[in-house]
Amino acid sequence: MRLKDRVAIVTAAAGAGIGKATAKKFAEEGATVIVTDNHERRTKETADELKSEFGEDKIIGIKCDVTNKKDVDSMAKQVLDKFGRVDILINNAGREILDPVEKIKDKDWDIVIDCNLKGMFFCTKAVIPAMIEQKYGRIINLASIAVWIGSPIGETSYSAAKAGMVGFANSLSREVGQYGITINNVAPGIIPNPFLDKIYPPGMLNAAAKSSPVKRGGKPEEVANLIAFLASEEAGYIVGETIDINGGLYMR
Amino acid sequence: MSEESNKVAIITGASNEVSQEIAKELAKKGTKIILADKDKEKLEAAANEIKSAGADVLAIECDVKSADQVKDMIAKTVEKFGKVDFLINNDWTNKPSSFLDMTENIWDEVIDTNLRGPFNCCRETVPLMKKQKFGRIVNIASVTGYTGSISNIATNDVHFSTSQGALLGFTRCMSSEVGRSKITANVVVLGFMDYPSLHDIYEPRAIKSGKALITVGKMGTPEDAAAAVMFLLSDEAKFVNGETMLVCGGGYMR
Repeated sequence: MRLKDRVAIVTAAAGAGIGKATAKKFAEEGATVIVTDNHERRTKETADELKSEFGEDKIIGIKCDVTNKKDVDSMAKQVLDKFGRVDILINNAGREILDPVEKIKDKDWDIVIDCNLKGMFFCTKAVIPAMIEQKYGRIINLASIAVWIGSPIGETSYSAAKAGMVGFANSLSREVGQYGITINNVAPGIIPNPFLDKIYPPGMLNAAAKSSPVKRGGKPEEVANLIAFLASEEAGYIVGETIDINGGLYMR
Repeated sequence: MSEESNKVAIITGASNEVSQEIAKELAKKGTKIILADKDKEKLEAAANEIKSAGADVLAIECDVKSADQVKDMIAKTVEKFGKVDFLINNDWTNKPSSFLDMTENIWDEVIDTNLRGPFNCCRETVPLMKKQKFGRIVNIASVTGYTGSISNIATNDVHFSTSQGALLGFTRCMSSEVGRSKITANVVVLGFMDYPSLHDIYEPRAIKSGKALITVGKMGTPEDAAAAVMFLLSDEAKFVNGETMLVCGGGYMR
């Protein structure tokens, strides 16, 4: 129970992938988990599912669009009003829209950059004052293998957003590291889930996963294990790190 | 005549020290140069200096944040010179602010100029380069994209560091998209550079802290930056793609 009595917010926690797996892992480790997602019905369903497993008082579901500052501030306020603290923030909300750079529409650029970067900015800003006051915090952003390697399928906006997380985590670490707050990134490779098949060309994910040394894609639970470690007290000396978890698909 | 002599180059943020140096070097090679900058007065001064060196220069007032202004800038370039061979994205801004005081407006201003700006310029230029099957894109970024601020003292730039990291990812990915069209896209990653505008951003003790990290014992100069850019623009560099070239005096090592 590495996260006993910790209060953790996970964004985009009601999908089929890393967010939900992380919420579940955190609850298993004893944390109180705030399941937030932009999808209202799924937020409730996921929260209900986890409540039935971990108890009514351990899980809260809050619908939250991370690109909407009011939504984010209201979500953080509800958490702070109820628990008086927030220990862990997992910035997992992300969007990707595929287009070659010369064809990207302004609105699509904005959707990707705003969800990944501005959402992270809003959520982090909303919890940092409380973390400074309590002199403890763990912030983990979900980056991607796309930080390090390009692809020809139209991911410039996504790669930009994910790589921005490196500068963000490291710069903020320098400002708030003295308060016992760590900010790190996790950069997954190919972690298949049903939603991703709607974004990428058919067969692409599978082929790429097979080309890794371990010859398979990763499981959301495997990424959640890494996130839980970074979110624990044990990882307090890991600061401004971007940790790859990609089955060796790209080795720095 | 060098291979650069019939080439056309766009430099954004044309009035800053590094852009000026790049323009001077390109002028020596006979490259036709488009200087783009949002500050009309500074742009005119910069253009006059490069013109006096005998270069064929077109100065265009352009705020790279604005997709329309960038479109217009590219249209004027094509109208005058018929093509774009080199795109050097070097317009940037930094509005120091502690994270706690960082407003959405400040965040937007920095991200829009430093990230959307280069995106806007690439979006308009890549189709032209694809058609002619040649192009060199050099984005100029700061090492803060890797390190997050320069040091523990020279901070208050989470937004800036975010934008610089993003520019690295953007360029790496774009290089994979455009490489087969004989276009390269690379980044020159600058460390702590010794030029006047640095003092508008950082306090003396912050500059001292950044300086202390540099292994070669002195801060970089616009000439150091321009040398790296000129290499990446050259024919010799045609096999260099998606590279983030550190020009930071060993102040940061991957």
